Amino acid sequence: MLSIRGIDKRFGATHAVRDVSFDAARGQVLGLVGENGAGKSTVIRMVAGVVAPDQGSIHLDGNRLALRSPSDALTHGIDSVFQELALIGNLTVADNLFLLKAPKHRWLSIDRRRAIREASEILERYQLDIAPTARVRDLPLGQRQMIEIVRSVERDPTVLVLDEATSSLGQSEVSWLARLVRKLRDAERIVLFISHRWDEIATFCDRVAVMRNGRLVEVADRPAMPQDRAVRLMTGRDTSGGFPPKVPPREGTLLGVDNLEGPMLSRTTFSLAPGEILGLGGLVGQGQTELLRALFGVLPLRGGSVALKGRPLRLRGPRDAIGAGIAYVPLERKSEGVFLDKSVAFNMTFASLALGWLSSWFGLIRFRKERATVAEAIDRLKIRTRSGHTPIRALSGGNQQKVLLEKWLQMRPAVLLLDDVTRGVDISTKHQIYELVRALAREGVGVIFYSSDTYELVGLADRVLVMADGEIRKSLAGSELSSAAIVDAAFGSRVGS
Amino acid sequence: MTRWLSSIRNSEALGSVAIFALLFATYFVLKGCRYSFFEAGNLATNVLPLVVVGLAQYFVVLVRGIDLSLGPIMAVSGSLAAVLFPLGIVPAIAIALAAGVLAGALNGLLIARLSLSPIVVTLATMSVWDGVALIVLPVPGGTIPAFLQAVLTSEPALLPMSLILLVGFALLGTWIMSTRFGLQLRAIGGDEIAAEASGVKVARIRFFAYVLAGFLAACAGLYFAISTMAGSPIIGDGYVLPSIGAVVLGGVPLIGGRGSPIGVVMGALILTIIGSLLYFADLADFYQSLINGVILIVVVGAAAVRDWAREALAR
Repeated sequence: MLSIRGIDKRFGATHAVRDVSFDAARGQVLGLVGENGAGKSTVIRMVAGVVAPDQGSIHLDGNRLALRSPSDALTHGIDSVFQELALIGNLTVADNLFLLKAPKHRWLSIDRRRAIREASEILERYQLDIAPTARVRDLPLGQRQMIEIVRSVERDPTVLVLDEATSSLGQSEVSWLARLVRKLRDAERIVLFISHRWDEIATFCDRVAVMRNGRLVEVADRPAMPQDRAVRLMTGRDTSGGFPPKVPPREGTLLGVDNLEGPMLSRTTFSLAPGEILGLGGLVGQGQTELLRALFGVLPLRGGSVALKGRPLRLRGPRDAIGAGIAYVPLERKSEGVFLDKSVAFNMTFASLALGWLSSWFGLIRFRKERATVAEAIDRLKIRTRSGHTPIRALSGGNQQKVLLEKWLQMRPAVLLLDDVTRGVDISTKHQIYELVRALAREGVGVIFYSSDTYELVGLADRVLVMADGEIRKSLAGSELSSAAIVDAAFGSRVGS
Repeated sequence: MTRWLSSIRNSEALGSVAIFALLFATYFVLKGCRYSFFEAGNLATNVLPLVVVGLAQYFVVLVRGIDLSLGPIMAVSGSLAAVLFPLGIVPAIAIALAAGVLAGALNGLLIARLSLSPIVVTLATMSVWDGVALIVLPVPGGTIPAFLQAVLTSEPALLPMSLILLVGFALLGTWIMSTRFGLQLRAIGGDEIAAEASGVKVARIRFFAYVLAGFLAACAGLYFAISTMAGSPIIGDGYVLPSIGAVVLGGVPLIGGRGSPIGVVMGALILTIIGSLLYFADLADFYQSLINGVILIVVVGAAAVRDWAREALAR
C-alpha cells in the first residue's frame, strides 16, 4: 500500500500542496483530478522523487521512503511517466529503453547487438511497430509516449505514475494503455493516473481523488464519483460542460489553400470563411500540426498556393505570415511559445514590441501603454498571477497558455492557427479559451484549430477536416459532425491505405 | 573488441576525417610524395598533448559544459612531476596524476553539485591553477629522468611510441563512449531534464566527466613535461582554446550530446598539420591563427550545410 501522509509544499509565495494525505492499495488504480494549478502534478512529483516535500512523508508497504531524486524513487519501485516526455531525442529507441541497464559484454562495453535484439523483443511484446534503431526525435509524439510507458512498465514497478501520459495518444493507443493498466492491476501493482479527459478516468480508475487549490477535497470509489460531481468539486462551482453557441460563418473566402505540398502534406485544398472555426481532426500525427506550421511559414512548402482575402501569399518565414495577419499558437508551449524565466508582461508583449505595435516611431517602448495593456489582459482573461512582473514559470500550464494566446491576440490577427492549445489544460480554462475563440470568430477572425480531443472539435468547430497521412480525408459539418463520424473517418482511411 | 570499434564508423566524424585527409594529402605532395614512420612519429609527438586535452574537453562538452582550466591543470601536473621526480618516479607520476583528478573533482563539485556555471567556475579555477603552477615551479625546469624520455622516443614493434600512445588514447576515448557511462553522458547532453527523469544520476555522471577531464589533462601535462625534458608552469595557456577548437572541428557541437572521440582526434590533427603546412608554404607563424579561424568557420559551416541538406533530403 502506498500511503501519503500530510505532505506539504511551497514554491516561493505559492502554496502548491497543503497537507495532502491519501492511500492507494495494491491492485488499485487511483485517478487524481483537478484543475491546472490544483497541485496534483506537484503531489505526483513528490511521489516520483522529482521534488522533496517540505513536510509530511511517503510510505510504501509500511516503509517510510526518503526520496531525493527520481533514481531514488526507481530503486524503491516507483516509476513515472510524465507529461513532458522523459526520452532523449538524440538517442535511439534501444538506447532510451536501456539507458540505465544496457546489456554489457567484456570490458563494460555495451553489447549493442544484444541491446537492439532485446529492444525489438520488448517492442514486439507490447505490439509496437517501431524500429529499435530509430532516433526518438524522429518519431511522432504518440509513439514516443508509448515507448516511455513501455520503458516504465518493463522495469516492473510497484507503483506506476502516469501523469498526463495519454495526452499525445490517439483512441486506439489509449485502449492499448487501458489493457496495460488492467494487467498491472491484476499483478497487484499500484497505478496513479492523472488525466484531463474524464472518459479516461472513468475507464481506468477504481478510485478518484479530487484536488482544488492545493488541497485534497475528496477521495471516493469511482462509481460514487460521477463526472458532474467531480467537476463541481474541482472548480468549487457548477459548470455545465457547454460550449459557446455556434454562429454561422460569414459569406466569402478569407483564406484559400490550394493543393498544398510539403513535409507530411499532400494535395491539401480547403478554404476558410471569415468568422469560421475550422477544426482539424484525425489520429495524432497525421499532418495537422504540419499544416498549421506550413501556413505560419515555419515549414517550407514544395507546391501549392495560399491566398488571404484573394491575394496570394509568399510564406518564406513566420515574419511573412505575421505581416499578413496570421497568428500561430503552438502545442509545445514549453519549447516554442514562452520565455520561462521572463515575466508575464514580457511574454505578453514582446512580439508586439518587436513588431512595432507598442512602440513609438523612435522605436522606444511606450511603457505606460504596455503596463495598461498587460493589466487589462490579465483582468480580461482571468490570468491567475500575482502581477505582470511574475516570471511565467511560476504560473500553471493553463495560465501560461492564456498569456501565450494573448500575445497573438494583440496583433489583431485575421487568421488564428491553434495547435492543440487545450492539451493538458484544465477544464475551466478550456472553457474560457472556447469562449475567447468564439468571440474572435464573431468579430470575423478565421480560426483553424487542431485538437486531439474529438469532443472538443465537435463542440467548438463549425466544420471539421479529418486528416490522415497528410491528406484531408473528410469534411464534416452541421448534422454530420459527431465524435463517431470523426473517429470513423480517421480509422476508415487507415484501413483503406 | 571489434564490436565497440565499430562506433568509429560513426558518420559524425566523417567530415573531420575528410578535411584531415585533404590537408594531409597537400602536405604529402608538398613534401615530394615521401613520408616515413619517423615523420608520422613526429606528427604524433606534436599532436599528442592536444589530442589528450581535446578528449578531456570532449567529455565535458558532451554534458553541455566547458573547461577552461584544463591547460593550467596540465601545467600543474607537469610542474609537480618535474619537481618531484627526485623523490622517485612512481610517487612523482602518481602525485601529478592525482593533482589532475583532484582539480577535476573540484570543478565537478562546484559545477555538478552546486549547479554553478561551468564557464565561470573554470575561469576561476584556471586562474587558481595558473597560480599554483607558478608556485610549484616559478621558472621552467626541474628534473626529468632521461630514461622516461627514452621510453617515449623508443620504437617498440618498429612503431614510434607516440603513435602507439595516440592510438591508445583514441581507443580509450572510444571505449569510454561504448560503456553505460558514455551512453549516459550523451543522454545528459541530449536532454538533461529527460535524463534526470529517466533515472540517470545526472549530478554524479557530470561530476565524473570533469574528474575524467582533469585526469586526462594531467596525462597531457605529464607527457609534455617528459617529452620536452622540463616542467613548465605556463604551457597550459596555449592549450585551452585549441582544445575547444579540436572538439568543434571534430564535429561535436558545444551544446553537447553528439560527436565521437575519433572526431576530436581528427580535430587535433587538423589544427596541428596546418602548422606544418604553413611551414612548408613558407608563411610566417602568425598566419596560423588566422587560418585556424578560417578552417574552423568552414568546418562548422559545412556541418550546418550538411544538417540542412540531410533535412532537405528527408522531406
